[in-house]
Amino acid sequence: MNSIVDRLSVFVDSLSNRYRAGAFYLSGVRILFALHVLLFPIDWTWMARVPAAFFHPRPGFFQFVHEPPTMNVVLVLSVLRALFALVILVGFQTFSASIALSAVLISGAGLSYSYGKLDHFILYESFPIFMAFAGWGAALSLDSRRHPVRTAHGFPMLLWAVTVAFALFTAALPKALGGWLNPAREASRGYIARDLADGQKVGALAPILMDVHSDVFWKSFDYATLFAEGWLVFAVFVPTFFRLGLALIVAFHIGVYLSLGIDFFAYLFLYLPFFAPVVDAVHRWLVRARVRRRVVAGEAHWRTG
Amino acid sequence: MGRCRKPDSFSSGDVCGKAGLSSDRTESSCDAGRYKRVPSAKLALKSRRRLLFLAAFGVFVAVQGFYSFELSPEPYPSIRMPSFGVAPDTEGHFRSRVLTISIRYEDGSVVFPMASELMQDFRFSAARPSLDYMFLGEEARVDDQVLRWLRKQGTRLGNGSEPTVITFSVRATSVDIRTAKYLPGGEIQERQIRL
Repeated sequence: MNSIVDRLSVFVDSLSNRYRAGAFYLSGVRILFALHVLLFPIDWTWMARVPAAFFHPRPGFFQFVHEPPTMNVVLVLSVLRALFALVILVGFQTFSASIALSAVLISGAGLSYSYGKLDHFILYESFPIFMAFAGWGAALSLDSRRHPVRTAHGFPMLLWAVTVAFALFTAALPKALGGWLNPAREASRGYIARDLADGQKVGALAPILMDVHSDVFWKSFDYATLFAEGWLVFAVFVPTFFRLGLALIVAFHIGVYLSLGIDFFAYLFLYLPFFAPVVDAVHRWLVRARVRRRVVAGEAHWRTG
Repeated sequence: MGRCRKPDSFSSGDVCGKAGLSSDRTESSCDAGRYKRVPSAKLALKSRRRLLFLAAFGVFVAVQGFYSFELSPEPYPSIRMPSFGVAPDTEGHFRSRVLTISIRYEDGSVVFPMASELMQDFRFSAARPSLDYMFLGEEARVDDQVLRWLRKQGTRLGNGSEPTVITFSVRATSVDIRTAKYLPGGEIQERQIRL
């Protein structure tokens, strides 16, 4: 028994190390994320402008909120969001500020989802908590100037990978149960057709796609979607496969945006921490290429005297 | 001897090789890039704690996922992504509800706004669900505040004309996924609200 536990522990340690991103890279993600929160904030003020009777919190923490938010509450939440994002941007008390930012994002979102629509941005809203533990304030920050220990942790990154993989799995499971696996039922085509018939929100490529009448084409879309969302819960145990899977998911988000007009680009930030080795490889390749160019130039200079 | 080495790149973390729990494993702590010496037993305990935490976290994520699928409407916060919904039937028909809104004015004119136009005060994604909840469901009650707000929207959409009645008409039909057009017919549910 002990030997199994030991082996599993070794495996988890090894996974953590392979998911670990460098402090400098993670800090870059932190700065980008903070800028996104600051520059593209979701408007919450509309909640205070609509009649109270529309407010009906869904199950969960927010079912204990019985009154819709007043304009003052919404403004305080918006100011706090900007303040914490700013503090995270410069990296001051990054750990506490990250947790506070997640709390504010979840509060604002939870209130706005009490008007009937859940926008499924929980990964975006909880991202700062995981990254705080991963050490995204360890470099390029005021914190790192005061305590110059540039460290990043792999285990929180592993937990984040598990969270992302599970979240995407919850998108695949209902599809599989709802007929997407049936070769005679073309789901992707159905959703694009429905949007076109409705006419309120249509993806840029939807009219062109509707001209494609190949059943094989449409069904392959469905299966690709199911695969891209579903296999990550297995791929999470092989970081290289997980990264490949995330690249596929990014392509999927782009496809959804172009065909259905649903914008999930904010989610790109959430996948960025996993691509540290890719960025690293590109960086090393660029450095090597530069050195090679200099050597070649030096040799040519030497030959020509 | 410790197996950790300092990070040699700007983005990847330090590489610890096969850090393990057996006696031949490293005595240097690979964790967090701190290169101080730590006894193997302490490392082993830390590794086991991580394993335990990961297992507990996995169970938590799965249980909250099960809970979120069981409840309706979907709870928040919960770790979920949107799943769209069921696929169209094998005939290529996709069940749908077509909403038509009409607002009649004192001068006899009528306008037919889209749901997003009537619900302009709402966030786009919340507009239709809020309309369904308030005007097409049975849970909510149109109170005086909602009525005043609706009258204001009617006036806005009628360029200042006085609205008298708003009608929500929903036709339960299907979309033909080959033509992207609604099929004719279908049961109609209607609700009129005097303004």
